[in-house]
Amino acid sequence: MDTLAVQGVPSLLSVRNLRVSFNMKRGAVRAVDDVSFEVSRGETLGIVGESGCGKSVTALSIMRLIAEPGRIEGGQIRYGGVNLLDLSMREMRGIRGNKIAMIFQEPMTSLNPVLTIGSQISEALRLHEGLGRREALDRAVEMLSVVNIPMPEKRAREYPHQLSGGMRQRVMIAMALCCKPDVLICDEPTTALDVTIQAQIISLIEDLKVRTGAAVIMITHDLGVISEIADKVIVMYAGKIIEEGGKTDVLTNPLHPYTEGLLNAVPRIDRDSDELSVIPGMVPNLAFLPEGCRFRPRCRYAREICRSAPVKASGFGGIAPRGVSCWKFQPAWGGEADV
Amino acid sequence: MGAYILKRLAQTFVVLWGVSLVTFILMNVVPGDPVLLMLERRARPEDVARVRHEMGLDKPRAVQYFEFVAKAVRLDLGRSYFTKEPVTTALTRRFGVTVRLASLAYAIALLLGISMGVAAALKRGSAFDSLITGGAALGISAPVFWVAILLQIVFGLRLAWFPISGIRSPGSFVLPAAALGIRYIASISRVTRTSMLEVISQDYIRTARAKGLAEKTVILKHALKNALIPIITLAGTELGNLLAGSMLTEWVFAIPGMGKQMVDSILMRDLPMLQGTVLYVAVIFVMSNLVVDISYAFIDPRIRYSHGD
Ligand SMILES: Nc1ncnc2c1ncn2[C@@H]1O[C@H](COP(=O)(O)OP(=O)(O)O)[C@@H](O)[C@H]1O
Ligand SMILES: [Mg+2]
Repeated sequence: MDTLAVQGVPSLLSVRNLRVSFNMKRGAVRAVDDVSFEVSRGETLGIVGESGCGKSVTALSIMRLIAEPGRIEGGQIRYGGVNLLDLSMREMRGIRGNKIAMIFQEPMTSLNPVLTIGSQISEALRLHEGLGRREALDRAVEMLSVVNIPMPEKRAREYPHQLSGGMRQRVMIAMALCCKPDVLICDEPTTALDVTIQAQIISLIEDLKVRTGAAVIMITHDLGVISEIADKVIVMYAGKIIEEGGKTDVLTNPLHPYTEGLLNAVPRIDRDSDELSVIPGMVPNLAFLPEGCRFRPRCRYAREICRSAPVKASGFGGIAPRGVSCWKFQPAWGGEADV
Repeated sequence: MGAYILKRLAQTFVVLWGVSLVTFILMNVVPGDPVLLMLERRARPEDVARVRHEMGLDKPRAVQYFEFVAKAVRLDLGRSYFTKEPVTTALTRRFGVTVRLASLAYAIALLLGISMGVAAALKRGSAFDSLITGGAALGISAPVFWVAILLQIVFGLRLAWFPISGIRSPGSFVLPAAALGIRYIASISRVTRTSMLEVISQDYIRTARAKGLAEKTVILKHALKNALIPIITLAGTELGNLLAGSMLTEWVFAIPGMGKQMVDSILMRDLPMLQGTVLYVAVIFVMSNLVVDISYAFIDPRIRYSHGD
């Protein structure tokens, strides 16, 4: 699959043909298979897909935080003119938390229980910006007020268990943004939170993105989040990108049957609730992938031809380049592609 | 924090009171009449009665108990039947020796145990890890006196590097401390390894790495501090075992510490000395638990704040 080429704007971060596999007892499973995308400054890329589709692995690969038994097998992650996969660990540490920062799904467990909030935020400042203890702590307090935490001085002296989940996620955001990163990766930042808190966190991220001009990669399985914040979207299924395009295009005119299924599973006010349908079946176990199209066993359009691997079709117009990996959009399918 | 410490102090007092009661009862059910033990076998009955009266043994048990407690809090534990030395003086002198031995062993055990455990966890699955894990299994199952005798034979007799008995030079402490410490090096390294492995798979360790921190900082600052919590629990409970182990070690190496004192006073039926030793050891045990609990609070803010403050 070739790369999305954004017209005119040079991309800030581009992932090319990324392959990540995990060495399990029964053999290697490829959790991310030939994934390519790019983001530019001030742009938000949404990555959607059900749980287990390889979204987190993709994000962790960018940070080079894939640990044993995982291994980045191939591809490139280009940032600032270099391939991050070629950097030494030391050089990579200079990027992490500084140029590329990440927010994780679980705010309850992502902060160190025995260190104060203030020290956890100031750590990155001392490391990357060379600030002294005092200055770093002052900046940490400042960051807490940027993410709308009331009484920031007091909170900085507190420990994670004294904060609610929403507050902790704000702390994570403050921590990620304190060194003004170029790229902010958010891995399901609201999944573990209450609905009302979710909306606040999303608008906070959006707000900060506008203010800092960072590129944002927003990983979620919630299409509502995508419609709120993303400029363009990639849809992942079983380790592969199956559809990509501008947000509005993908959300209003899904091409891939999987995207269509995801959209049908979202409750909408303009539709009867009994029309709501979940996609039958489950994401396949990566060790036992079906032959051909990975979505075939769950796809209501599946035909004999789907037993061989689908080819990517591109074009379709739209703001961002559009692509879909489905036989329906190949001439071999027959004339009625746009059902 | 303050409230937590006060609460633990109050609990400690209750436990100490219980300890004094149990000690007193035990001493009163030990077979053998202490007065008869002290006097000549053919002492006259009126002498026996006089000594019994002098020692206050003719008073009701309850009164005896309160007198015992009242004296004990003033650190008066009576005198040895045989040397006539005040028990407190003897114990303090002997305790100093035990403390030197136990703290040396303890320091070695903590230092080596924690660093070996951390290293094994970081090199999980390697030959080094197997060596540490295997060695630990061996070290935990080896009885103290057996290790002690082995060390005496190898380093004392064969190689003649260190003395095998007495405390004439600082070198005298090397073999006893090693004999005593090996077991704790083993158990502490084992717990450290397990605890470390659990901690380094936690989300907050990934967060620390995502900040760009060097691996050394991730391990020593973010992981070890969390991993220490079970290590402290172990180190605290092992402190009691360490004292017990030091009794055996002192016996094998003929070191005049608390352990040797206790064994000697049992053999000689020196009841005030034995009673004092038991009480002393119990107090140390309880106090060490108190210190352990308070040190938790310093490490783990969740404990510090969950009890008032
Ligand atoms: N630590 C790991 N060990 C083994 N396999 C893993 C590990 N992490 C991820 N995987 C594999 O990668 C797949 C994708 O995981 P992930 O990227 O976490 O999914 P998600 O899209 O829900 O974020 C999983 O289904 C699993 O097969
Ligand atoms: Mg995930």
